[in-house]
Amino acid sequence: MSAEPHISTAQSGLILCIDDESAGLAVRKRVLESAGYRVETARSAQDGIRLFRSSDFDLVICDYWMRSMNGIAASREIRRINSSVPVIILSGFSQLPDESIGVADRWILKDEGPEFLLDAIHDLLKTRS
Amino acid sequence: MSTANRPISNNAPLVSNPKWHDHKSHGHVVQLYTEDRSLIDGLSRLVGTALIGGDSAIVIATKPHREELAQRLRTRGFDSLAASLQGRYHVLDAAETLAKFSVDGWPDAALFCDQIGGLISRAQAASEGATSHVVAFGEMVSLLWAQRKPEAAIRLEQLWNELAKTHTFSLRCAYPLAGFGGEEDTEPFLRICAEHSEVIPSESYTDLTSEEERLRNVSYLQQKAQALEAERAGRKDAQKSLQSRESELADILENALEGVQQVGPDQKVLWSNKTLLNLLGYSPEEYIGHPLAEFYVDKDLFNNYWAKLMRRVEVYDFPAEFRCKDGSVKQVVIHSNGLWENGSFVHARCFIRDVTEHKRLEQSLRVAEQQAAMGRMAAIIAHEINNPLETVTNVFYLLRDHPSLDDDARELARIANEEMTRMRHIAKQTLAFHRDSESPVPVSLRTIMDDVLHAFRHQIQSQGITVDRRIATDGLVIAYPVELRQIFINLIANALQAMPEGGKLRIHLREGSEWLKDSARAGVRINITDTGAGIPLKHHHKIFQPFFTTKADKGTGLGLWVSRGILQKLEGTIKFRCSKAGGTAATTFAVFIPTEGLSSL
Repeated sequence: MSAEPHISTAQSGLILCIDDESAGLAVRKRVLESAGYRVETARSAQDGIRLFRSSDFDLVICDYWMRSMNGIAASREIRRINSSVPVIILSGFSQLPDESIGVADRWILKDEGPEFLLDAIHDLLKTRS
Repeated sequence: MSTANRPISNNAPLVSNPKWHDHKSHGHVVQLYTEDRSLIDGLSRLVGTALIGGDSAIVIATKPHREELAQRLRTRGFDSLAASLQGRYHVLDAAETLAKFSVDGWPDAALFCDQIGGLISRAQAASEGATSHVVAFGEMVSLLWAQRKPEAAIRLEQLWNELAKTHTFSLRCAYPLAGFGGEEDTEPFLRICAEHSEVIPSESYTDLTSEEERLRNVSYLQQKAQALEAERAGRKDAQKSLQSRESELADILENALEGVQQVGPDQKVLWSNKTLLNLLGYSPEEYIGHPLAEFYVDKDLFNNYWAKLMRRVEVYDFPAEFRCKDGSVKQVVIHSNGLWENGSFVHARCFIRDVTEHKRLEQSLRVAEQQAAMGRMAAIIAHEINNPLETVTNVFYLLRDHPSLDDDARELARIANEEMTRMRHIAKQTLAFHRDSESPVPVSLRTIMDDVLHAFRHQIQSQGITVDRRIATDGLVIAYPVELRQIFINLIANALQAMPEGGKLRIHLREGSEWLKDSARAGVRINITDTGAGIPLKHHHKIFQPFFTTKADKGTGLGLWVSRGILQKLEGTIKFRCSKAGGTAATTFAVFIPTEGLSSL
């Protein structure tokens, strides 16, 4: 787990958050907003990709295990559209799948906690700017 | 008469004397016969002719022959009694007479000369004829031959010939042709013939009336001899190929893939092939002749096997365990049945296949399958728990600083948030081999052990447990730190739970080599010992299985299974032992983590 202190200053950036579990998605949106980010959500990979084409996002967070199209396929498509936007894949599993390598900028397991996710976003956006 | 050793037929014409049964005044004649009738025919004519002519006769014969001869002479109207009274006719028992001049079963020259020479002299003196001939008939040689004493028979023939130098008589010996049936009889037969001046073939030849018939007979006999010779050669070949086939079969049995053995009615091993001896490591003396039950690990199983055989049941795919010489156990499968003859058991045939390696592979495959299945299940459970857990964690994260809550509510949210962190930690510990770095890194086991002990310090204190910490090395290994922490958390948690009423926790950390017999890999050894009640024997084989727990609601039953899984990835090992010394029980979990000879991580 990261040793960095929790980011207290307000952040900026537009994040696309994709997950087919509505409760988790809504709460995650509020966690990100509490840190200062603007957030748009999509309930499926297809909706997320459509949204991604229509707006300029700074970062994408995508759930790995979704019903119609999984996070790996979604991430590949998003990168094909615009490879400069960092992608984080979130997984409820405790281990990463073999096919995870090179697919996303970060893989984060859901049991890591919100601070860990926020630190990762902060890092990725800092590198990008 | 002439006693020179004459070859049987070289110079003499083949059919020298067609009157086979006629009396001759000299010579040492041998008569071969097939049936007694033929012998008695010739003998009665010989004796009758001599006695009628006023000569003397001596008959040394068996009782049946003497009786038949007397009967025949009577039939022919000859009064043998008168001749006997005149001292011209002497009839003696062959066996009795032979005994009189034999010493240790061997004819003695002096005694023979004394006995038989005296008899001939007396008979000659009594003879009335102008020629004073004595005719003798003897079958003592035939007795000796029948007793399988060919040398003694030949010796006696020679003694007769010796006697002929000092006494005048003609002699006829008789042998039943049936006595020369063996191949080995040929040589002594020729020697016996050589001791005689004349040989009379058996009646199948002598009964023939014309020379032409006899020549045909000779041709027939020659052909028969030829056929016999060919048959004998063929038989020799057959025997030779049978022997070579036999040794080939024995060779195949000896070198069969399966162990083969015969077991007698006394349950002892009668024979066993090399394969079986090699499998078990015994020499033939250590195995063959011993009761088979000695080599069974389970005697009841042997009794069960034997009872089946005795019920004439074919034993098929019978699993058993055999004790090897080195004490190890081989798992085998037996096919066996009994050989029965006339209702009694002769022996058991056993075919024994070694399935030790097969069973071991089967077992490890089962374990691997079990582990894979458990892994899949753990992953699914983890996924199903982590998703709502993340949401709830996020909720409490937001509540923690929520402006609408008062200080008390925020404090409650903070506590809930901490508890959520603990839940996440437990889920991670028990359901996953989580890795916190991309690749294994150098880790100090000392540091990790101290961290873990620190985390448990409250529990250690509250249970009144003393810690004996002996750490002799930093214990640098290449691994995932979280995984190592996981192992020690599991082992120390177990140790503490085993000592609810206090006790001693001993931690040893030192460099050392693996304890396995054929391994000398260097590495770090960690022993974690508690003085709790110990692990009941009946649980020993189960404690590394997933979901095995004795702690009812307190444990998941995954700790040791997970720990062993991590160690297997590190190519390390874990084992445990329970001991009792001076009333104190001790349970030690020993872990070895290699630092060299690693294939991959």
